[in-house]
Amino acid sequence: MIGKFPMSRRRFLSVTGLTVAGSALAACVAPMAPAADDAAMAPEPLRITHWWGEAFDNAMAAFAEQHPQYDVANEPAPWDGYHTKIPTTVAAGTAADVMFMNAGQFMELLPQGVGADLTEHLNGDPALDANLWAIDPALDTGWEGVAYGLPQWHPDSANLWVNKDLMSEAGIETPEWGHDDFMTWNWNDLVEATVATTKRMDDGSFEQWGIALGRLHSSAYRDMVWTNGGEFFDDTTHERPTESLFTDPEVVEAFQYLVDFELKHNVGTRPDDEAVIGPDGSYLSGKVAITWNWNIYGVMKQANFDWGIITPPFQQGRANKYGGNSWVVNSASDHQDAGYEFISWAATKLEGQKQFVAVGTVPAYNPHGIIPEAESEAQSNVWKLIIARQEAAIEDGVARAYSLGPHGTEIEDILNAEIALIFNGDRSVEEALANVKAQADPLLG
Amino acid sequence: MSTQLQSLPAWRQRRSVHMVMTHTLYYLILATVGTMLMVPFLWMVVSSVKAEHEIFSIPTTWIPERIRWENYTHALESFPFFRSLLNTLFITVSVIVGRLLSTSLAAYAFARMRFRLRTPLFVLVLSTLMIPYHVTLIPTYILFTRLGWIDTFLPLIVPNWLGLGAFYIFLLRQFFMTVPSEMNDAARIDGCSHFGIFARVILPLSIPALATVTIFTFLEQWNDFLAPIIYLNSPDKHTLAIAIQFYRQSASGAGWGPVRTWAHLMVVSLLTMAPCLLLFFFAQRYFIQGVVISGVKG
Amino acid sequence: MSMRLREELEAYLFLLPWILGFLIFLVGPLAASLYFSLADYNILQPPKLVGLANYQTMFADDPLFLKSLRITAIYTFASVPLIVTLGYLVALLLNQKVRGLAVWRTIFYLPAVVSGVAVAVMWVWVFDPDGGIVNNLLRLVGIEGPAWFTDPDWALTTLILTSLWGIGGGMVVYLAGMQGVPTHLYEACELDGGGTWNRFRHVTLPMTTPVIFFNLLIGIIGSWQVFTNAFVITNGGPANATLFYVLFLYRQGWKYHKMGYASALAWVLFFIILIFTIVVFKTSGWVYYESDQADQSK
Repeated sequence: MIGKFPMSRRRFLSVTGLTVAGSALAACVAPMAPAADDAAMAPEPLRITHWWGEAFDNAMAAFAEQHPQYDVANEPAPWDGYHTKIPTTVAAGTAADVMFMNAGQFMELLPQGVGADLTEHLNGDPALDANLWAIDPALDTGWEGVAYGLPQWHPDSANLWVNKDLMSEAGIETPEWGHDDFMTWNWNDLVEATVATTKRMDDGSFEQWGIALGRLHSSAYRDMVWTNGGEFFDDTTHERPTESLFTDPEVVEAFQYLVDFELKHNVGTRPDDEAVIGPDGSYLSGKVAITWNWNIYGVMKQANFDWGIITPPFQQGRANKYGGNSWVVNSASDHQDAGYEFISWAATKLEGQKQFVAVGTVPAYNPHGIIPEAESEAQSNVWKLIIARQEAAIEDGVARAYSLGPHGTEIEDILNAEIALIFNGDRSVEEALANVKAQADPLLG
Repeated sequence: MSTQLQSLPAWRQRRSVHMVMTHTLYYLILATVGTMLMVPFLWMVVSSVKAEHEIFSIPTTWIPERIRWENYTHALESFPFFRSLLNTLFITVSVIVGRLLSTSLAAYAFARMRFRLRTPLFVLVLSTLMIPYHVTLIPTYILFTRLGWIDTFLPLIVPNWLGLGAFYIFLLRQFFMTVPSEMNDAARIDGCSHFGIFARVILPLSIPALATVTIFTFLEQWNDFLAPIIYLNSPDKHTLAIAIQFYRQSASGAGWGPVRTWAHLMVVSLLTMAPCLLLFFFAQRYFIQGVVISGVKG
Repeated sequence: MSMRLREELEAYLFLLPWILGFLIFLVGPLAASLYFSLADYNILQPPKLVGLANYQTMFADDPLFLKSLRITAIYTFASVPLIVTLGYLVALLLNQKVRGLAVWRTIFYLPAVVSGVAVAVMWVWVFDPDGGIVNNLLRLVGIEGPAWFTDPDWALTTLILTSLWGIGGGMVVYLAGMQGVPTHLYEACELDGGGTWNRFRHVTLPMTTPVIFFNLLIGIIGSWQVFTNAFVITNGGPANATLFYVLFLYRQGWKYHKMGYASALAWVLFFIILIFTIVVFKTSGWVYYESDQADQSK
């Protein structure tokens, strides 16, 4: 009966509220009164949530100082509870006015009415030059051409962070950005470097690893697949895939390549090593020659060895993902204009961007504009490399959505389960990927 | 277990040799297992005074190149220790008091009183332990929203004053049921009400059980982070567990936030653990064989 | 008012906090989750009733449901007896009058407090396939040990072994329980010429059955819902070999946002645990309560 009359959200909330407070107390409790906005002089409240902790304290304080018309509430929550808190607060109607979101986790939530449609705000923003986006917001934090968020950072794909001391000790020359050998560095070169830098102790355990793959993260696989000219789905935006392409030869080849680091060459950290120390923990130990990770410039600053950054080796093209972290305005918020003012300040205004690059990344809007603000030559080199690669990837048409779409998290779990069977020797790469396809396609159909 | 070998007759001496061997074996087991259990703790202590590149050095080193006490001052400079400590203490102490009162009352009814719904209600109490919180979280949150309790400590404290904690009701019931019923009867004859028996007979005889509830509740509240993350919004209300989560995020190098070293993380983790260990250290002295009952029974 | 009626009313007074807490904070969310279990509910849109579809999917169309149920059952049957017994042995070991008892006990309590990266580091030392302690020992006797955490055939066994790390909590309950054993019983046993074994067999063991019962039942209820270890150490892997029921439920609800399905899973789990609980209660004739036996429901 009830099923035939779909409830509105407001009605659902009140019904749930009644069920929930099915007690004497319900009678004496007034529903939360919306803050009265009529007092023109009082600053407008603006609640902003993110998972970066005090890393954003300075940015929030700077925005509040520059915008006295807002009463800014900074509401950080750690990542381990964040992806529970966001849907919970949205369901209860108490979500913050502005939410920081990660495309991989939240992309599928956006079209469900979580994010406000920003089209009008973007069109009506005179200070904005749409050509200066490194990546189109509608692709990065959007759905079917609608932008639901503004990307804060340049969507840097995984990089290879290199311990140059270990490389030169093994007689391998690390390619440098801007030199020709950098552009021609290929899959075989990476294998050669990792084999040369791996050292073992007498009992067979590692003394030094060639590479920390972070293989529990499927992002390394995506990068390899895309750089090899393959695709995960028949829809490159991952918004409305109808079929997965896991059995395509380019996909299989890229997976085989990564799997071989452990199964054939035996040069990679095991997942249990990484579960403990994390790819960068092992890296800082000075016992890993190459680590595959996001922008960890902040970590690298602590290294007590000479380090460099290179890209995953080119094959067919320069792999990249789009979809980083974005600011989203709550579509149920009463302060959407204020929310937009904050997110455009944070993502597109130099004074806002300067606050956020303090944590190490490049802005997604007008990235070249930030280069002079780099704190060191090393940071500016990292930034330049990331920007150049993103531009090259877009030019080559190999930039792909970071989120795997509506059933992305489920397909990722299927993928990880089958990958484990490859490593255990129970399945060949072909068999495993055929299984993934067989399980994933019914979800898409 | 005192051994006085000299003054004993021969047969007792043989027995004492046996006892010495038992003793030796006993300490051997204690020491072996104890050492194994201490390994991660020692690793944390050693890591907290190491330089960053030493922590994951291979093979593991147990003696730092140099003892870096400065890690402690640096870690505390960048960690909101005292503010979050006060919040956590406030929540934890409030919960302990409320829980001791409300769960012991309920446990007494189940252990010592006759009423018709005793069995069904007790099953109901236990049933509340059988639904994973994952599926009740959203409606519970909506409930607290309706009450206007979001971003206050109330959702973390009030339910515990109202007896929620079936685990503890069950625990105390088990203990209350081991108190001999003659004590009840004697007290009844003296004209004690049920509340009198509860307060003057059962509770004093159940100090070890109440100490257990205190130890567990302290540990549970001290380390709980999901509920505080969900219900608290303002950073000035954050608890130690939340602060540690932020700290760990930056130390694990996800690139999130200011860079903290692993050594600094070990420092704040050790400082956070310390109260739990101290509480246990002092509370365990209530676990001394037989002191309580023998006095009464004479 | 008769004594009987008076006691009946008094009992509800003792239970009042719990009853209020249950009505205010639990009934609503539990009812809501029951409602969600009959609905298609993605958290963000209001739930749409779909009848028993979620339950049908589970039994007819989801191999991971049965797989996770099987994994959890194996874990429960293997780890609960292990933890209940070993926890008891450790408590016996620490219920002696020995020098530095407080320190020894605190050391054995350490695992309940230490967690996170330090423990993870230790598991690698222990279980690493190449350089780990276990496989090095096995090699001495000519056996090549498995890759404990990463081999799907061994990962569950390994998690069961690591669950032993958590016996410190059970130990605390046992220790508290052992304090309730009246000394006069030991004295009587001594007078009858009973040695250490008899003292244990005829005094300590029967008198501590209420706490053994507690740890057993709580162990069963808890291990059907085991989550944290599987989430943190193996995250369900490799190849779903440690996909425990509640981890599966969590993924459905919070990762894939199928909260209706997750709620249905929760209610099925509820009935499984309830059945186990009833069976354990019905077979609890071995539990000895000092208080009025015949009258007590077990």
